[in-house]
Amino acid sequence: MKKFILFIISLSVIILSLIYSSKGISIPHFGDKIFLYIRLPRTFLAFFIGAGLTLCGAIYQMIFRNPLATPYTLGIAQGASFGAVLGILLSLNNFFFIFSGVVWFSFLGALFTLLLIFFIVYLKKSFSPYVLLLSGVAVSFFFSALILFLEYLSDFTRGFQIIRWLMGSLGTVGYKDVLLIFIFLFPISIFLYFLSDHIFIMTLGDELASNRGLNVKRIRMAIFVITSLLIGSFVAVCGPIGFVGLIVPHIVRIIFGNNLRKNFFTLILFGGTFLLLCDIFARNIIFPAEIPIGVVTSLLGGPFFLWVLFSFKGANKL
Amino acid sequence: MIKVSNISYIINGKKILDNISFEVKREKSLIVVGANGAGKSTLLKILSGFCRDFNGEYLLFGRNVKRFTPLQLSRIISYIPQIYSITFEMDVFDFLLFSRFPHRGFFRNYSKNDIEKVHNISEKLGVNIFLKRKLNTLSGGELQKVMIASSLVQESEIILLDEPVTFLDPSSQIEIYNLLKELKEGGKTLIVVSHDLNIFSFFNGDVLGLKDGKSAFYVKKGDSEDLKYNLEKIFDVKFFKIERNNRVFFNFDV
Repeated sequence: MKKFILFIISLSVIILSLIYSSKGISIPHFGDKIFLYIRLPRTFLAFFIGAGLTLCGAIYQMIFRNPLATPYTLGIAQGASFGAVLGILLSLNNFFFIFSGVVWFSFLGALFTLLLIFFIVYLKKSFSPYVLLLSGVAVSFFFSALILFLEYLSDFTRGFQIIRWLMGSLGTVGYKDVLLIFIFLFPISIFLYFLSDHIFIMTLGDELASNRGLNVKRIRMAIFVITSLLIGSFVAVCGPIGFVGLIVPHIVRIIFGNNLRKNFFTLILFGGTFLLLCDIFARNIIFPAEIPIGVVTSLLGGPFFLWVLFSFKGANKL
Repeated sequence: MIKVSNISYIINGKKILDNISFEVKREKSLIVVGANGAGKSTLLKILSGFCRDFNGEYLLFGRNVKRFTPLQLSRIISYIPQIYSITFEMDVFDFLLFSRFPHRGFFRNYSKNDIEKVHNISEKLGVNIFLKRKLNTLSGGELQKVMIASSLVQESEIILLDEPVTFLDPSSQIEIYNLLKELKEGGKTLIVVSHDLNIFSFFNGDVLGLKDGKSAFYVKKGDSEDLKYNLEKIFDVKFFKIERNNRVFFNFDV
């Protein structure tokens, strides 16, 4: 029943996102270029990113057994942001091979961070959640510091561009961004779906999970690599959109329970709808200007989360 | 069935286990006793196949344990850790169902047979009343029963238990001991780590004593005089012995 209501709500939000504009509600007609090349791909993009971030957030909170884990905890986002900032500073706004240099640099930054964390784990010879988590935090602070340093060095216009990029944006024209995200999101979420029981069992701790027949280290490694690719692609396209990956998994857990396999599509639907709704607010509330999406997710999501926390029965045992 | 020879385990230069050897035959049981920090839990982790970087040889059905995958091991051995280490919230039903995981194909969901098995066993052990509750809301005794149920659902021949009755009240202790006795009579091989003295009276089996990571004694089943002497030696405490209903109880005076 709850899932049905969620389905109805998300369907209506998708339709709202497609037909609502500053001039009010308008039914799009075929050949409407603004609808076809701006509003439709943007709706897709927001939904995909929200879904992916929520999924990764829920999975990270489970495999690290830490309610504060987010998709950005392991520093992938900061590495990707650093790459993007470097790209902005080097004025790589031209397009190389479909995407702009900033996107490429950002994705390379994510890959570099992945390798860096692997190197640390290899040196430490341990793949425990704590080593991974702490080295991720260290790496992300390192990159944050580098970003601040680059911002400090940059001139006024570039500095502004950097700040705007770091706030995240879902602005897109045409379908190449959507396609890139989809190419990563679709196979990876299918893979994660088949691993969903494995991930849920790993919340019991390494010993019990291993005794249920899981190769804990290998699964953690596989999940870490593929989600990092996903998050890297997200950040490269849209910048680090915060909050969604931290709070939406908790909201889903409180309302629907924490069985990952049963709630897999709920997470996708809820996350996508949430970010889409935030995006509708972001682009319409002070039209013609646009509020950065990262600001809206926290402004809307914070009170919403508190409402869920106080009004749902299961929530008191958080 | 389980044959361990000269096992040593070293963490950060400190010897946790030093040259332990013993053998457990099929449908026999072993009780491992020792003071806190003697290496009992580490021994159990090695036996469960979780710690694999030990020195020495551990043969399971004549085959080196390092050559088993975790999946193969999980069909043979189930491991019940100390219960206070479980903090995550998960439905009891889900938890029990996950014990069928080793018997499930990668792309398959759980079959009807799996679900039926969970219901049957939980009914038998009386844990069916809290199938819908979360693990972290159960009391110690309830949680321990759920853990034992999970190892039954897992259908493994060997069950390893780490301090099954510590922190439980007497009535829960009795319930757990009765369950263990039933398991033993049902043909399971149990290895129990405990420093609860009642275990020797409720539960028959060979006893291995550990002290500072070394094997201090090995007493065959039923030799209570020898056991008392050795227990006094490793705990450094005077015990007295009460015989009642053909059973021997140990206790100590402060």
